[in-house]
Amino acid sequence: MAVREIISNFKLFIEYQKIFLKSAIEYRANFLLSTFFMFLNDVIWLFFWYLLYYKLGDINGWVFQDLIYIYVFATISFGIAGYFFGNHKEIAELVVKGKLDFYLTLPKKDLTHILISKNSWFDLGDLLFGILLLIFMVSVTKVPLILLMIIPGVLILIGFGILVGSLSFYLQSSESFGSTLYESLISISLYPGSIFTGATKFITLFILPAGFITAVPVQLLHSFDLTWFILLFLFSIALFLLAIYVFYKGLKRYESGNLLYVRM
Amino acid sequence: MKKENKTIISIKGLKKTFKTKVTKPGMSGIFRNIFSPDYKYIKAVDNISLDIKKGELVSFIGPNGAGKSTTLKMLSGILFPDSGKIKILGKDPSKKRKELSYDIGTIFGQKPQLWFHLPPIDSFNLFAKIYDIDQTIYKERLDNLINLFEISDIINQPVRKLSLGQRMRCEFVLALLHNPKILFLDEPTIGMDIIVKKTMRELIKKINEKEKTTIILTSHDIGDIENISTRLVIINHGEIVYDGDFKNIKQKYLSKKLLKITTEDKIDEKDFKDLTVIKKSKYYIEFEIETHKFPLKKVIDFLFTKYKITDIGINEMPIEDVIEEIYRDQR
Repeated sequence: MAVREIISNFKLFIEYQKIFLKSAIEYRANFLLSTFFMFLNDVIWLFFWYLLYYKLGDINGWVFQDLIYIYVFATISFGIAGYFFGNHKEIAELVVKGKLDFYLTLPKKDLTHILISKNSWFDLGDLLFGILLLIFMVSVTKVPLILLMIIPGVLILIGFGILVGSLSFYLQSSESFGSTLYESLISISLYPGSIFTGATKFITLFILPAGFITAVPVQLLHSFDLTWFILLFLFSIALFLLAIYVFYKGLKRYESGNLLYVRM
Repeated sequence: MKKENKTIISIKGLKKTFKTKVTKPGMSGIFRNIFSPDYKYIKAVDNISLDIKKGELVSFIGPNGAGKSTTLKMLSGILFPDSGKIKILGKDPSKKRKELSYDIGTIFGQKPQLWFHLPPIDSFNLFAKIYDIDQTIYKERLDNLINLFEISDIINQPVRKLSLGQRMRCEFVLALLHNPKILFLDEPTIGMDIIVKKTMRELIKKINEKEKTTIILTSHDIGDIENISTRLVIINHGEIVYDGDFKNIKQKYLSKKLLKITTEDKIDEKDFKDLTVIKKSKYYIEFEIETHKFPLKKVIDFLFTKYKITDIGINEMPIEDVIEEIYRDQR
């Protein structure tokens, strides 16, 4: 039963990927520009960090190579979450504008269907950048561990997105509040973990869990610690499950709506 | 065949209330809104009960905000009722929404399901995967529907290049791909001109007759269901005002037409003394006629022989007026 469901969801996932590719061909310029500019954005930021490190040598013990690791973890997990599960950032919009109706009247599991039915070209730019960094700037021996630790990062991004998006089931017009929280998560995860100590460290781990996307994995690359490794996975899975729970709890309060829109 | 008369949708004492914030006026109102917002409770659906039999074509008619869409959304499991019971094919949609989705097709006029930038065929293929339809069955089903709705030459054009009527045909095919027993149509004619509306009516009739699909449709315009023999349910303020044959309502209340005429000559009041005149000026008159007393053709022939008419408008009575008259008769 479960296996059959996974296969059928995977088939649907592939069908959506085909549709995204067709849209990309239909709107070539938009697709190329979005992807390229996100890529460029990443290049510029990393260059700025390079200049800073060139002057300072290290920041609280973290060197430029650590920042490359941060960018590898961040851009690949943003890329996977955003490109393949793009709707995790749009939950609030779907709720407020009554767009959930579409998913609710169809047989597939609501949240699975919601997540796989949208992509964003910007995040493809991130993904490509991260993969190039991984190939050219990271030693091969570290690659398997890095790939393994990207999984919790993706789970945290998607889970956090669903969680803040589900606020709009409870609070009217909480879209901007939720997306601000999500944006903060993204920005914090792009700073060297060493600058956060004490209270800020606690916040970046357990309130806006950016630390688990980048800082903790980078730390684990340097000195592997089983407790933190397990904590990383437990925390991300727990956050993801909590997000699913909160979403379905909130869904009972869904009020739909009659706004006009088209599927793009 | 006794099976034909089986009840497949049963609704009992359905209620739904929405809570909305009331905005207070002025600067102080803004602050008071933040700290102690007032809420207004709107009864969208208030104690609706009805049974629908297999193969029936039922129209929910009522003004905007009457509760038609809310009822339909509760039937499809999108909204949870506050109280009351719904059974569709013996199942409760708020608990068995996913199971029922295989038996129900929906078209929300305001929410197209076709991918706007891609040809309809891509959306069809996607829905085949969503419903896990077997490939050979899907191909056969799609061929049938393409013939039935005559869309073979448009399925490869991007949806944005299709006319509204063509798009609507494709929306129907999309909703019928999984061969549902029941079809919900929420305001399917919204934003359409008379010609497209007519095609729509023909399509709805066709599906009901050929596919034996049970259909519930909603509209705010009673004229939409002209020529479809249908069971009519008029809803106002979340309550059922009328539930019965469309013909009865048509004879009783819809024989009234509203005429608006602009002339070049002065209008003679005596010509209109037996009629209910609503507005009158020197060269313009608005009046009601009851077509079973004064046949429309006679009235118009008379007007054209007597006056030089520059503009003429013939309208149905708005649904609000029909509802008002039904209330008056019930008292």
